[in-house]
Amino acid sequence: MSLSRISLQEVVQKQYAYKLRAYIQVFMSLVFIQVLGILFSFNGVGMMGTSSNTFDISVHFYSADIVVVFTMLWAFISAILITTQAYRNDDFVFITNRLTSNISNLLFLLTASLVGGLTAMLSSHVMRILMYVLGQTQYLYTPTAASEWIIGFIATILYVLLCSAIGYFFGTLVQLHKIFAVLLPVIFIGLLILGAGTMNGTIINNVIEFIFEEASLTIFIVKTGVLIALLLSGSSLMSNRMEVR
Amino acid sequence: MLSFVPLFIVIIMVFAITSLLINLTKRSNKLNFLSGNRIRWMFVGYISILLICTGLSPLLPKGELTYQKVDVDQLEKDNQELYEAAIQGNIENVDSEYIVKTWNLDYSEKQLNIAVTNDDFLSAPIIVERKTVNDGKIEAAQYKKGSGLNDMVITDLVQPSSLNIDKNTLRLENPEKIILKFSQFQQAFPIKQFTGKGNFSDSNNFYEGTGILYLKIPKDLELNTTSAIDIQYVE
Repeated sequence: MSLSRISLQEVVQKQYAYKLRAYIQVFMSLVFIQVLGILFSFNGVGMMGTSSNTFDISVHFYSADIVVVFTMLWAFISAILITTQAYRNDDFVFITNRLTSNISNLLFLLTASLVGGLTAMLSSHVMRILMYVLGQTQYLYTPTAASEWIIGFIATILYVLLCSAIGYFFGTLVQLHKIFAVLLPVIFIGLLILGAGTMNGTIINNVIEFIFEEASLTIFIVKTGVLIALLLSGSSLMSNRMEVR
Repeated sequence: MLSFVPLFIVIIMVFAITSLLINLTKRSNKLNFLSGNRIRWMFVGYISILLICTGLSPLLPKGELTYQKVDVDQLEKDNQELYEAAIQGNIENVDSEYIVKTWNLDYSEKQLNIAVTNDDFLSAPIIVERKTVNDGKIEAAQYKKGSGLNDMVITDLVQPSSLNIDKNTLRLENPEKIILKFSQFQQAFPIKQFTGKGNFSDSNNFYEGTGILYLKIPKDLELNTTSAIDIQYVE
């Protein structure tokens, strides 16, 4: 029996503060991955060429697409890593139960996604300046309105958060039983192949369409929001079934 | 499936780097160069570079490299209007700003051959108006309207064709080919997805307004051409 009673909020706060400091390497890998993405982007993300009697035109496209995709991958793998045994056990330094541990993890993922999403979008400015300094050809720029930036930030953060939620879910599954470490990649590759060649496309195609081709921001927020909530609450429920250590 | 291989390699690389970095620093806290403080400084440094660049980026000169924006449909309509005005004999109503070049040639023979250098295909249709008199003069004007690339007007870049009379032949030559190389900076896909600009696939367009070559010839001059050259007379 303990003399002091601590509220849930206090514990979560403490764990969250600890995790921000202890998982700092997650942010360092973010920096590396984004710099790598910026370097890769110099090759351009696309190219178009056209020719006529009077014109011979080639256009190389540059954008932050690669950085955003890399950041999504980073979120996925980082979320998996913080579910691993070594990280989970860190929590037992504190007064903890599964709930506080999960909540502080989720808060950490949310913070990481916010940081990842914002920096991914901002990296386009770095690319623009580097291209201006190093660029050889004529250079075109479509100005982005402030409202479009806000849309971009929201969407990117949600994409990154969704990836980290998927990662957290998978990570928890693997912690639940090691067989998932083999099963999940197998299922994924199976889904890639299953249905290929049919009119409906593969299941993965449908999932990609469901998320990546949603043209309305509101519906996109609802879709990803529901998915994130399902994945995260699913992982919380699963982790409750785990042994203490 | 083979085209996915480089993609998989990149994905695996990202995975490897991320997990390696995270685990390396986690396990060996004694690794000096990656201590908590250094990481914090690196991270803060990266964020400040991002913020500085965000501040600087709007200051970059756009100047002459910014092209007027236009819709492709508008370009198509412009060209149609130009053509219709010419074929109906209303060329006087077309604004003179669309004239790329004019020529005044003296020619008093009865017959004139028209040929294109190197047997090229002339991109612009030739529209011919007969004057009411035989004044021994050929007036030519090249009109150009509406060429666009990805919603930018590039009409101004179009060079005039060349045109001269050599004995009994009017020689036309396509303008020198313009080689344009652009680097276009696009919005990232999370923005394009919701602003109706299509995501992943680049929504590109190129429209070349052919313009017209308008000739005013003396009343009784007879034009001889090959079938490869598109000549139309004003209605």
